[in-house]
Parts: sequence; C-alpha cells; structure tokens
Amino acid sequence: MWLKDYKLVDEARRLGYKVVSVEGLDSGKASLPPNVFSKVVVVSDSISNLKSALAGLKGPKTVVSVVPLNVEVARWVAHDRRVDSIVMTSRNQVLFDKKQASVMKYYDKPLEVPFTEIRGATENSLAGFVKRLKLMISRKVPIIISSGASGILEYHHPLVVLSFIVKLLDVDYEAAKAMLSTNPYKVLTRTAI
Amino acid sequence: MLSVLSIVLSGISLVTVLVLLSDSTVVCKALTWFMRARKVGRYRKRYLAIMYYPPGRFKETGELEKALRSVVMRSFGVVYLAGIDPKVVYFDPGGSKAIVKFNGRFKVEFLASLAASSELGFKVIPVGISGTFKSAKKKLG
Repeated sequence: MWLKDYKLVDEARRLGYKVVSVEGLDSGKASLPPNVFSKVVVVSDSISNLKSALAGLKGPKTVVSVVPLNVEVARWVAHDRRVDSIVMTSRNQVLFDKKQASVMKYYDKPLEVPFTEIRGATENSLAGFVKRLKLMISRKVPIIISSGASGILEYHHPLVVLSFIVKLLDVDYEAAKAMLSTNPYKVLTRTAI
Repeated sequence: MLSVLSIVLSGISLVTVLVLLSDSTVVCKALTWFMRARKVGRYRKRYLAIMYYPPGRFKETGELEKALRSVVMRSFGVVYLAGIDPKVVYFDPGGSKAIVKFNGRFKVEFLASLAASSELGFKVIPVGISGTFKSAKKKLG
C-alpha cells in the first residue's frame, strides 16, 4: 500500500497490487490515476506540532498516517478522525502497549507496520514487533502491513509478504490476508468518499 | 513349518471374520488412516515458476540455485534448507524466468524466505505453483 516513490506504481501493477498510496504526491493533481492515492506521513513528538501539521492536510484521496514518538501523541492521535492510521516502526514500538491497543480498538484506528521495517529489524527489534503485533491481534485492532518500499528490490510480491506474515506471527491465511488487503482497502474507501 | 503356516492362516481368517462382523464405515476409516500414515514421510514435489530482478543477474542455473539456497539458509537455517531442497529445473536467462522444484510440504516457508532475497541484491517474483513441470511452464508463458 505505502510506496515512497511514484516510479514504483508500475512495479505495483506488475506484482498484482490493485490500489496503492504513494508518499510525496500532490493530492490536488488532476492526472492522478484512479488506483493511486496520496499519502502523507507526519512524524511528531508533541501534540501542538502535530495539530499544526494536520491542519488542512486532509483532502480527497489523501491518506494521513502519523508516526508518534511519545505516549501523549500516540494516545491523542488514536482518537483524531483526520488520521487514518498509526505507524509502528522500530523507533516507536515501545509505545504500543495494552492501553494503546484498547484506545485504538475503541476508535477503530488501524495500526500500520511497513514491511521494510520488519525485514530490516534486528533480532531484538523483530521480537518486539512480533510481541506487539500479537498483542494487537489479540485485542482485535485492525492491522495493516504496508510495503514502505523506496526501491524495486524492497517491493515484494503479496504472496511472499503473506507467507512471511503467516510464519512470523503464526496466524492463519485469512487473518494475514486481511492485513494485506481488507484492512488497507477499508481505509482507502473511507478516504475516497 | 506346518505349525507356522497354520498360525498365519488362522490369523488371516481371524482378521477376515472381524472385518465381516464389524461396521463397514469403521473398516473404511481404518484403511484411510493406514493410507494417510503411509503418506506422512512422502516428498510432495511442487514446481514454483519464478521471475527474477534485475534481469541478467544470473548467467547459469547453478548460480540461481546457489542464490536461492542462500536465501532459504538466511531465513530458516539448514534444517529447513534440507527440507525445502530447492532445485532449478528450468532456466531462461534471456527472459529472467526459471522453474524451481521444491518440497511442497514447505511451501509457506519457501515463499516466506524469498523476502530475504532483497538483502542479497536481487528479487524473486513467484508467478505460480503447480504440481507438474508442464503446467508450471504454462504459467511462465
């Protein structure tokens, strides 16, 4: 779902992805194909900075994701309707505890994890990812596994990603498939309206 | 000699009587279980049709096979490598296509391990999995 370079849109079509969101696009661009969404990622460590960053950001076909860097921002962003997903990286994974899971569940806010983050994680970091993702699955928080690719080599076939998730998190195929297709599609349909 | 033969014959007759007396569904279930138990250790070969990127990265079959083995080794270690046992049976360097034979019991593991290929400087795109070489080649187009 999440691409960091517009050149990867053709590769996405070749790999079988139907809809993608690309970071660094102007959402008002008229020539944007119907299956391409614009994505804005806001990294923030204070609520005031985040408020000013989010002001006027939300538009049609624009997916807004936030990378919170402390607990206050993580809690606050969970109930902001302008934010479509909360991104977990190796830098901020400690913020995603039981309390955060219950807040995200209550406001139906999806947790987004870039696949490049999972692949590039060290052993300890990967263990943390697995632990927190399992916690989120048990709390029924919608999870999105986005690609987060900035190059062709980082961009994997959905079947490869699906198999990796099945083995890593020990979930069944249907649950893993929802992380790759159903949950991201829900977010995109919500933003398209 | 005759005593051994009589024991064997009596055993066979006893089994036949038991089969005739017992329910047919029970006999069918027992036979199915027996057949399944025999299949446990079987190697179910599967063919994975793949494309790789960048084009022209591999010149020979052995080169691609070595790369695939190192990818599996990196992800799951030597135990799974022995189980998966990937072998390149068809290689088209011009079209960057290949067919890999592997143990079908480890399908998920093999596909999951392909994610590690980007760390080694190439990417493997699975086109399809099939039970025969002919249909795998058809999938490659």
